[in-house]
Parts: sequence; structure tokens; C-alpha cells
Amino acid sequence: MVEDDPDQILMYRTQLELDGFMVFDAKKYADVEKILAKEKPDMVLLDLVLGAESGEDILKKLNAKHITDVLPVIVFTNLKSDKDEQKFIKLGAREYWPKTKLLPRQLSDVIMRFLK
Amino acid sequence: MKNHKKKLEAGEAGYLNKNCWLVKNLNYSPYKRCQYCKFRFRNCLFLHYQAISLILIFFFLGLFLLIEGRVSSLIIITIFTLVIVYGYFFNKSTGKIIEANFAQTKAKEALEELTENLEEKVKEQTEDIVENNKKLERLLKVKSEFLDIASHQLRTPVSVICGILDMFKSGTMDKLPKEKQMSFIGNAFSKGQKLNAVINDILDASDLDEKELDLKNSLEDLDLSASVSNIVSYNQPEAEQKKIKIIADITPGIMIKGDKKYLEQAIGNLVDNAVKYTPENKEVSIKLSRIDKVAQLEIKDSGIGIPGKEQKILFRKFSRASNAKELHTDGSGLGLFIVKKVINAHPGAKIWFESKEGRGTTFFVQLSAI
Repeated sequence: MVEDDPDQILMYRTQLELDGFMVFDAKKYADVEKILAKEKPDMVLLDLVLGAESGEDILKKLNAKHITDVLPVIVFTNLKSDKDEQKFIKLGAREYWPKTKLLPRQLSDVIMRFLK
Repeated sequence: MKNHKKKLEAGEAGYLNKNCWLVKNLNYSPYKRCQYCKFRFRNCLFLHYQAISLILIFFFLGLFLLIEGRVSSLIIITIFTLVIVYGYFFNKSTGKIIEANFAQTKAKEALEELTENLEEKVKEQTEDIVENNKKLERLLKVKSEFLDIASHQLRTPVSVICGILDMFKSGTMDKLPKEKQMSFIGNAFSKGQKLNAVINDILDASDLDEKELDLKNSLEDLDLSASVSNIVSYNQPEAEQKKIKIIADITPGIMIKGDKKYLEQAIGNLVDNAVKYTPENKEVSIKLSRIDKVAQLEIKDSGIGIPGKEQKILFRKFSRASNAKELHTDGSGLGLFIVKKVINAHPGAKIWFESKEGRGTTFFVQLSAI
């Protein structure tokens, strides 16, 4: 989970871990790279509004290294989605999930279905 | 364009045609009709028509004196009379030709001026339309950016509050120890406060847009030192999360006349911005001091700074520095607009800033101390 808001990290991590997932959080691309190398995750949930480095920057880097070809990256954000969705799909994101439409337990269900 | 100063134009009484050799030498117009003429002497209609008549008159007068015989004299007198009549009518028609010529020139000039003005007006109006279009495009862009940011700022706390409440409702929280449940309640509460602040910013900005803020009746004795200390404490947790050190140098007991609610909101916005735009492991300095009868607050961040050309418009509504947008940080572009309105509403108060792109920004606020 690439996210910089500790409240959201805690909330989603708690729900997902209770449902049996392992969650690793990152705030910048360097963290993402380390987790990818060490933990070999099944998917990446990527927020867009981060600190110095935006989610878009991170997605571009993952795409440039063809990581998005083998690892599903889901844009998980509160940004307005109408026009952005296609843009991020083109940049290599597998899907675009608006946070407001997914409560933590719904996120858990959606991830489960997605990974199956 | 025409010169409308005292210089007389053709057609006006007293006008002297400086192109005419005769006028130049006599310094007056020999005929009334000359006031309509702009020709050079050699193009003078007088010369073309009447001078010929005069030459003929003198020619026949000479013949009359030289030739003898009644018949010849009669013929010459008849021709002589005809030439005089011819000269008289030509003289008359010359005046009419000159006046008609003048009227035609005037009409042509008026038409040219009208065309020129029309072209200028069309050009001006086209420029206005293009400028208005650009303004409209800028406004639409600003509106769209504001909606993007505002929607994010409103949705984020809502999604956390709803998520946490749902975790309680669905029984997920029952699986967690009491302290963890309480920390979730704390998180939901702090997100609720953030949501409240964003909504207040939007409503305040919308309200302030309509009118100037009038705080005359709500000014009270306010301990500015205490207010600034509270704001620093309030921002401390967020600073700690980013490992930012807030260095506060606050002279105690500085009293001012101020509106507590608005002033704390304005100073809060400045401190919040300083923390928001300062990168991890850097510093934010806040200094409150008294210089004679002035309370001066300095809020210095180690952030991205504001690009030079954007500094002029920083206090405008929805204005956000381009490098702030690139950072994808939260920010509606309303905070500084409200800050400026609030500070301006305090008698004798002022706000300004110094900033260098990449090196950070320092905001200065001065308020009248009591």
C-alpha cells in the first residue's frame, strides 16, 4: 500500500490483516522498490496524493521498468476519477478504485476477488 | 488621425492655402473660394480657365485697335463680348468646381476616418473578446483544479470516518483491544475536524468573496502569544509525523486587539502551510516579538518556495503555486486568500512574504499591539 496518511494506513491495514492479508506500506518509490524485492507482493494499492513524489511519478517509474506488466498496480485514490481513470490505465495501472466507494471490508472483498 | 488643434483646415474662414504661390506672396486669399482650395498654384483653376479668357480679351482688344473697317470691328466686338461672358460664367463655375472638389475631399477623408475608426474598434473588440476568452479559460481551469483538490480534501476525511464507523458497525473493531479502538475513534475525530476546517474554508472564502470582512464589532483584547503557542501545539503532531522540528520563539504576554476566531484561523493556515510544504527532517521557525507598538509574527518554512512570477497572485482566491500543484499536496488555494482578508480587517495590520524557489518562504504578519 503506497499511502502517506497514517490514519488511512492504520485503518486499511487493520481490516486487511484481520482478513488474512499481509500489508506493507510505502510512501515513496524507494520504499516500493525495497518491498518489491524483499516481500514479493501480489499487488500494489497506489494512492496519488503523496508527499514529494506523487503516485503518478511512482506509477511511471514502475511502468518504465515493466513491473506493471507482471504485478497488478491499482490506483486507489480520492481524486476525481472521471477523466483520470483512462490516463492512469494508459500509464500501466490495472484498475482505478475510488476510496469513497470502498469501505475497508469492501476493499478486502474486492482484493480477494481481484486476486482470484 | 486629424490634428484638431488651432491650425485652420481647408473650408474654414481665414484658411490660407500654403501650397499656393499667390496666397503665400499676398498672405491672403484673392477669392472667397480659395478657402476651399488645397491645390498648388500651377494647378489653380483660375489660371486654367480665367487666365485664358483674359489672354483672349487682350488679344481681341489688340486686334480691334489694329484692324480697321466696321465689319471687322463688329466681329471683334462680338467675339470680345462673348469672351467676357464666357469668362464670367467660367469664373462662376470655377468656384462651384472648387467647392464640389472640396466637399468630395472632405467626404473621402470622413469615410477614411470612419473606416480607420471602424477597423480600430473591430480590432479593440476582437482583443477584448480574446482577453475575455482567456480569462474564462483560466477561470475554468482554476475551477476544475479547485474541484479536483476540494473533492480530494472532502473525500479523504469522509472515507476514513465512514470506514472507521463501518468497522465498528460490522464488528471488526470487536476483534481489537480497547486502546486500539480508542485510537481509531481519535483518528475519526481528527478527520472530522479536518473536514470541518475544509468546509469552513470553502464557506468563508465564498462569503468573503462577496464583501470585505468587517471585524470592528468583534475586536477584543487578545493574548496573541497564547494564541500562537496553541496553534504551534496543534500543529506539533503533524510536524512530528513528518519529522519536522518546529522552532518556536514566542515572546510571552503580547496583547493585541483582534478577532480571536478569525485571527487564529489565519495564523493556523500559515503554520499549517509551513508544515505542509516543508520536507521531512527539515525545520519550521515561528517567531513572535514586539517592536515598539507592533506585534510581529514570522513564520519561516524550509519548503519549495514560490516561483517569482506567481508571487503577485498568491493571495488571490484559488491561487496555488505551480510547484505546490506538482507536489500533489492537499490545498484548495483558499487558505492564503482568507488569511489576507482577515489580516486586512484588523486596523493597522499587514502581511507580506519573502520567498525563493527551492529555498523556502517566510510570512510576516504585523498587528497593532496594546
